[in-house]
Amino acid sequence: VIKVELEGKTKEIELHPISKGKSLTLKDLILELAINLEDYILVLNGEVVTEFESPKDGDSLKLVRVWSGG
Amino acid sequence: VVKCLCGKPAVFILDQPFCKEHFEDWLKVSVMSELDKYVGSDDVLAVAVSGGKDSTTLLDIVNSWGKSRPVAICIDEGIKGYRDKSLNFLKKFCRENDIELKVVSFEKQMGKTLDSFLKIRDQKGLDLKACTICGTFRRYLLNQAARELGATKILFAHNKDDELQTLLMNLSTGNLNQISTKGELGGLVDEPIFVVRFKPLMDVSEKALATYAVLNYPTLPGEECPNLRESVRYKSRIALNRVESTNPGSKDNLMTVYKETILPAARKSVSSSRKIIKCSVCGEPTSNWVCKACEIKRKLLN
Repeated sequence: VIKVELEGKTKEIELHPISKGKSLTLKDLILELAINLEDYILVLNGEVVTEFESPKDGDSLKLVRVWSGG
Repeated sequence: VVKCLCGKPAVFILDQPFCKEHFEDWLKVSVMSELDKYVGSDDVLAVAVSGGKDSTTLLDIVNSWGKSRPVAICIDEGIKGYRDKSLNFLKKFCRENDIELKVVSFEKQMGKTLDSFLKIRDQKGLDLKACTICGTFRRYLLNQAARELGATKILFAHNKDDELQTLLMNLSTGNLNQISTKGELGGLVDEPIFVVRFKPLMDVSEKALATYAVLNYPTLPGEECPNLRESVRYKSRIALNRVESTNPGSKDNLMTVYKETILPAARKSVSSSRKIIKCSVCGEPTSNWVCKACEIKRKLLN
């Protein structure tokens, strides 16, 4: 199970391998959440990571929206 | 784990994965090479800042570039609960980095805050978007403030996404005139009354800048303008991000076509027809008898 924080709300998502021998990546998780990867920065356990990272049980993922205005 | 060439975990992927340190180096080198290309030794630099991610990053890099001491200019539009937070962050940032900051407010210079102008707009039922009022007054005041400070160039933190959104908006309205004034060195460079506008972040994506801000400025307020969603820009942003996510590399391709073909063609097409005169009301530069800022002010206040 991974804890996901998105737009101020937290939910728990069960991790499962997407196919035999291939572990789930954050990119797969984002696709499941039906959000656009282009719009978010991924912060896994407090560290900025890429979408190719594989989450582990107990991890905490924060999706920081790429905010406009500079 | 995707790793940088140095072996450390990657935080961002460009043409290759970059760790935090190399990602930051890449961004600094990219911006500084733009500064080296377009800023001369006689140039006096002003940086348009808001306390947001893009302009804070730009100001930080220009300041550490070391070849010019920039003055920061911030326009306080008066958006309660939004600008006050970013202004507080900006004041602290400038103080800590020994950067001169000039704050110019709508309330003092244009007579009212943006919040008040929007109330009047709604009461009068005027067809004016918040961004039209804000953007026009902001550009007007920035040019004026930069000129008064003796700046020869004013640096804007417009990123790649901003530039492409603007392009999309101008293409959809067929506004070749507006397209011709954009690009890295924008504005009417032949007119001394206009301070030359320079955009050193034009090749850097919004996501890269947001990532840099998350990594470097943990107390920076990451809020969006409350008026954002009524803008055409917001819709352009969603459209471009959708295209990029289904066809990665689209934004880069569009940027290449824009710089190599659209921009030169637009400039060639309108350069001979553009004439600049002084606004009959305020004396600031305009291509019409009355400048757009005075026209909007008249609609709102008369």
